[in-house]
Amino acid sequence: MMLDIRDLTVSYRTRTGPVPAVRNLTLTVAAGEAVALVGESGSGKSATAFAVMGLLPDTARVEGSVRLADRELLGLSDRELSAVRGRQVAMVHQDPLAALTPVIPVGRQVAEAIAVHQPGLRRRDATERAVELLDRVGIAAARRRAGALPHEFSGGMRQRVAIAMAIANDPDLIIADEPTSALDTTVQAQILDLLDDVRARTGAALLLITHDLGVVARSCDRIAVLRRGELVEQGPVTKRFRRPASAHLRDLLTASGAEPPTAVAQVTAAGAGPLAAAVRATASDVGPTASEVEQAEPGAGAALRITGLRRHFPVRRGAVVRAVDGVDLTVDTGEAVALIGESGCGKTTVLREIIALRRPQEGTIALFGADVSGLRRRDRTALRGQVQMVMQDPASSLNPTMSVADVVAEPLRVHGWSRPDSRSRAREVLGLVGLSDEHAGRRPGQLSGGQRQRVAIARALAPGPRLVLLDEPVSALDTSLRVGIMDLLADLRERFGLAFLMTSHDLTLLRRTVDRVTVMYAGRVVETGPAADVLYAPAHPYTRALVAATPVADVAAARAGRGSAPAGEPPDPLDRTDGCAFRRRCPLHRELSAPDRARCGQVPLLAPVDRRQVACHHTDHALGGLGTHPAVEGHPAR
Amino acid sequence: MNVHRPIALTGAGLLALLVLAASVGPLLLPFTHTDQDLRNVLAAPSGAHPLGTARLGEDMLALCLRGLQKSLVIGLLAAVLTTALSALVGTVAGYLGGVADRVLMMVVDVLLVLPPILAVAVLSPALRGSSWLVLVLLIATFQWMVTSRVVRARARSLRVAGYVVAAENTGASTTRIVTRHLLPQMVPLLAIDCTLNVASAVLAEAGLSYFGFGVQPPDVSLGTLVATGTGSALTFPWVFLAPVGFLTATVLAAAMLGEGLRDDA
Amino acid sequence: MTTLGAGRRRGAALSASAVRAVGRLLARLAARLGVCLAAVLLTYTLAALSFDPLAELRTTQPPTPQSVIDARATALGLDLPVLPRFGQWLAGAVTGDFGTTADGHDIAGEVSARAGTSIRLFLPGGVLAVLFGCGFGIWGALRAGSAADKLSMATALLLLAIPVFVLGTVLKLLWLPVNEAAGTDLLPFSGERTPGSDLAGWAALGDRLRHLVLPTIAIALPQIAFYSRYQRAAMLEVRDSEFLRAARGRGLRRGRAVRRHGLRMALIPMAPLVAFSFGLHLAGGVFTERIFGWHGLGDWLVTAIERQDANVVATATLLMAVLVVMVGWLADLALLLLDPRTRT
Ligand SMILES: Nc1ncnc2c1ncn2[C@@H]1O[C@H](COP(=O)(O)OP(=O)(O)OP(=O)(O)O)[C@@H](O)[C@H]1O
Ligand code: SF4
Ligand SMILES: [Mg+2]
Repeated sequence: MMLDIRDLTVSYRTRTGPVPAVRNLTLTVAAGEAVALVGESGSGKSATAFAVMGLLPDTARVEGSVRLADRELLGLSDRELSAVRGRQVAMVHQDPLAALTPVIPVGRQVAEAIAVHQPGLRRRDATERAVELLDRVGIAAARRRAGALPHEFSGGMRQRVAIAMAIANDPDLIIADEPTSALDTTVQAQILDLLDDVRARTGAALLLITHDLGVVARSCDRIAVLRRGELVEQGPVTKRFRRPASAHLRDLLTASGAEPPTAVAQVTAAGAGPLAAAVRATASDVGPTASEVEQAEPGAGAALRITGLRRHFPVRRGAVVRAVDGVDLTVDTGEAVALIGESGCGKTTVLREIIALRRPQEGTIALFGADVSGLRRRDRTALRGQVQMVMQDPASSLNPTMSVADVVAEPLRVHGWSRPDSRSRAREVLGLVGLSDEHAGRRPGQLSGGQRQRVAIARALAPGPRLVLLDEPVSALDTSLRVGIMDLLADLRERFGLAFLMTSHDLTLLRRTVDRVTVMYAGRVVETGPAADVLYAPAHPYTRALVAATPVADVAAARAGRGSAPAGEPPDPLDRTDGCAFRRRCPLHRELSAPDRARCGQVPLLAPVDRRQVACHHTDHALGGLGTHPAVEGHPAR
Repeated sequence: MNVHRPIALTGAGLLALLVLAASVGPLLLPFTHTDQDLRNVLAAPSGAHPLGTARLGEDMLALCLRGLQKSLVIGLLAAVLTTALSALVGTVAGYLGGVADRVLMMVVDVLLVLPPILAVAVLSPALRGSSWLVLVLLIATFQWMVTSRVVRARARSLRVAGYVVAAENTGASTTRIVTRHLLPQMVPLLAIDCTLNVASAVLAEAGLSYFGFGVQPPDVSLGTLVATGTGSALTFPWVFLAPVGFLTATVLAAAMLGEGLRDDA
Repeated sequence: MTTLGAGRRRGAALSASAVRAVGRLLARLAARLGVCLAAVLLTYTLAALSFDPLAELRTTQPPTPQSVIDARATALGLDLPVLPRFGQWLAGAVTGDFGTTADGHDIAGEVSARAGTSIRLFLPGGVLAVLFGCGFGIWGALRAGSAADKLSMATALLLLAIPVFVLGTVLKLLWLPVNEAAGTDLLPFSGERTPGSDLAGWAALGDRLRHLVLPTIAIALPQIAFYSRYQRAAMLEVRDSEFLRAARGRGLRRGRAVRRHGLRMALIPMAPLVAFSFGLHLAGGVFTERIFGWHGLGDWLVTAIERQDANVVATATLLMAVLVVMVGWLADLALLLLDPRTRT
């Protein structure tokens, strides 16, 4: 065995007594094998990793045995351990910015990681090796970029640097602690591909810590599931996913939306190439029936209508961040629309512009038919009750010094409700989200993460809104809680005829919750249409890359998706590209003939393609004859 | 804030003891601080005068307790004023940002160039004969800068806190946000800084009085007592050491309480 | 070939960033000078409001004729509003003319002696304070929780609770028996040098140094206590940081990781702290000058306040403010060297 952990117990000394983190964990990793360690936050995954590395803080107590290549690691001195760390076993940390020393150029840090295990190595040679390594992990212009400081790199590039350091001395085992959870799905796919690649070259074993079963399905041979510090199940990924032994893994699988492999797998496998056939097949498999389509049609009128919305932020030295750069968007009454796209594409900014109820920098925002720029004070106040927002992180969006009841009553108080009235209304909406009177008296700190997000939802519901903006409503929650919250939202929407505009990274969850999807790239809309079309048979090359990069908790599908990660980094918000902003990364663009390619130099506008709108000059290449698809026939043309 | 840390507890206990001594002590002593025992001038500590006597035979203990009273009152009042002023300036600057922030922080920078004690000293000739309350005001006026910076930093980070943004989204007014969401978060911080400000204010009063710019005779404070004692420190040490002991104990007690609370906040 | 090209490009990038850094330093200097001027103006205004240089004339017996008082007021420029008066004084000050004292002496003549004395007193104390403060702080943080750490933190708290004017006197009190036992002033208590002595060369230097010891300790001790507490906190934060753990994860021994990766990060917050608190520490210097009989800026300032002499107050304040600007600017420079992130 490469790594042999037996009866590992880790506990932390705290002022209130010892807190157990890991209990009697037994786990092995064979040479060259990839093992996933899965569990929710606080289940002891990182404690296990740091115990192996011997990097637990002094307040931790470790018992049991950790053997690396038959050598006991527990009890070794710092000197002995430091000869092992980085050479036999290397680690990739969760937050690549925090794990790099901020004031030392990345190249020097990589060179140091090499030199520390090769005392005789000349400085020049170490630097040279560092540049080579940076190049190998995909840092463009590695020689020049070696002099950059960590904060000058994007998240994905930082993680590449971390991987370069991890493989610097050809370790036998790499421990990666949530290496991609701070990254976008597109970048996550790139990093996972990179890990595959370096393992293929070095033959290193991998202990991959993650909470994302999609990542497990994609990259690992075996899985071990931790719960509250205890191992609840382990075995080969394929087998365990098909027949989970523990209720915990079963729940996690359900929560990850493990679906019948067919549809998703094929789209994923199709990658980003112009494979119209695959797309067509998919659309016919899972496309909504005609009656479903009818229901999703525009209802009584638009709850929200945005045209030409623009929001630029001036930053220092005269540069401008074009966070939102001409967005059109409509949400009908009672409709649920999702806004998706990579981090920084402007999703949150759109929501903020709406909730501000102010005249936007440019463009118009109309709510329930009323343009917000012309609003008088009284009308604006009235409108505030109609539009509410739920934010991403429930831990920070609730004032810790107020009681839950006061938190929920706050918007009512602002709108002039009396104290008793707002109190009783608060109780009522707390009931709606499944919280009792007993919770009403607590402070937010005394609630679990899921309960806190319920409170945030109750607060949004309190004034009786008709449109609710949701900014990543579940991404701060553990996977197993997400489904519950999404179901609650769907239920509330149905009961009260609410319209939703929600942003999310989790495409799997969106598939079953929203009617329409709008995809943003670099501040613009690139595709918008019915959820089933956009998410299952994406038309725009960017949407396809996004869908392909989404991890799915299905082994065959996930593995088929390996190596198809979209190239390139998410766009720099300061860059000003003319023409199609996706050009640099667009796989279709690369395959086009020269004259076709030239057209990409002009900004593509949204144009109708069957039931959706797509901003690409070459959708015809991508979609072939989709327009005549049976599912779409008989459907009133847009 | 954990009040039960030993250092915080020690500080609180010591401070309580000093307050008690200053308020009740003088009533229990057979001498007032102005009584002169002319047969015992500059006498070393003895049974009758546990801390010795001063130049005119005044009982050192009575003098010190009287001085302690004045120093504590000035210190506490000045600290409360200082903290209130810093809370106001800090939250306004931090929450509103923009021009208000820049102007206020420029004022802070200007006031921090020179020791605040010197500014008060410069004003002292104009204040000869006015009440010690003016001294309190002046100490507060020139002492709020450091705390206000801390408060401002906190307010700035709270400005983007989820619940503040959430309140803004519901249309809450600035007043409501400041009073309901910002200040309650700052209570622990302000409590700690207020305690530490007591220490600084007592020191400031002592320093000013030492130069003769603070409490004016015939009134006494620990500062004036130390100042008078300094001259005889090498010859009649008790005249110096007695008020020094009280002064140090007071400052130390307040600092320990504040630090004990802070380490945990 | 590529190496060459890259090297040249790197050279170009380096000089460009150097230019930016110098530009930034100059901008900081300008900002600091502006703040310093504002502080001097403030003091001047306070002095003008507070002082009444004519008080003595008014209370003479027999009464001074009004015309004489008026003439004196005009001579002192008191008929002008504060701002123009300050303008006039400042215009003179930049050319080296600081006006006259209340009793008619030229101020400029005394400036260099006063400033020199203060610098000779503050500089060694300040440098020692920063060195020892940071040193103790780091030392304590690396053995946080140990008895030694607890003791040093308690000492720091105690030192901060003792006013400087007490500390100076206590130092004297403690040293007195030693001097008495030696029968001579091993470490003298007062002044910069033995008055009237005709020592020269090394002996003169030794004499000055012996005079310097006790005041330097008085100035440095509270500052050491002050800095060490902040440094300890900064180092503790770094000690628990993820990047230090990651560095050890790459195979660096604990000590080497701290030296290579931690130290610099822990020192970074100290630079702005020194800049920001130096003005506060000057108060300690003022007391020390008075206690040990050094005729520096602080002593000058306090005497001038007692005499209600606005021009001297302004001059002494200006010189102290310039000192603060210089220290602040050195801190800016140190920050730039310590933290490459601030160079762009
Ligand atoms: N106040 C601001 N000043 C300057 N730039 C800003 C500001 N707010 C947002 N931006 C920038 O605008 C761009 C869009 O930001 P936004 O928060 O809308 O992205 P997002 O799509 O919600 O991303 P995420 O998925 O990470 O939440 C980003 O580059 C962001 O850094
Ligand atoms: S317009 Fe061109 S570059 Fe842009 S997405 Fe379409 S094919 Fe790609
Ligand atoms: Mg966002």
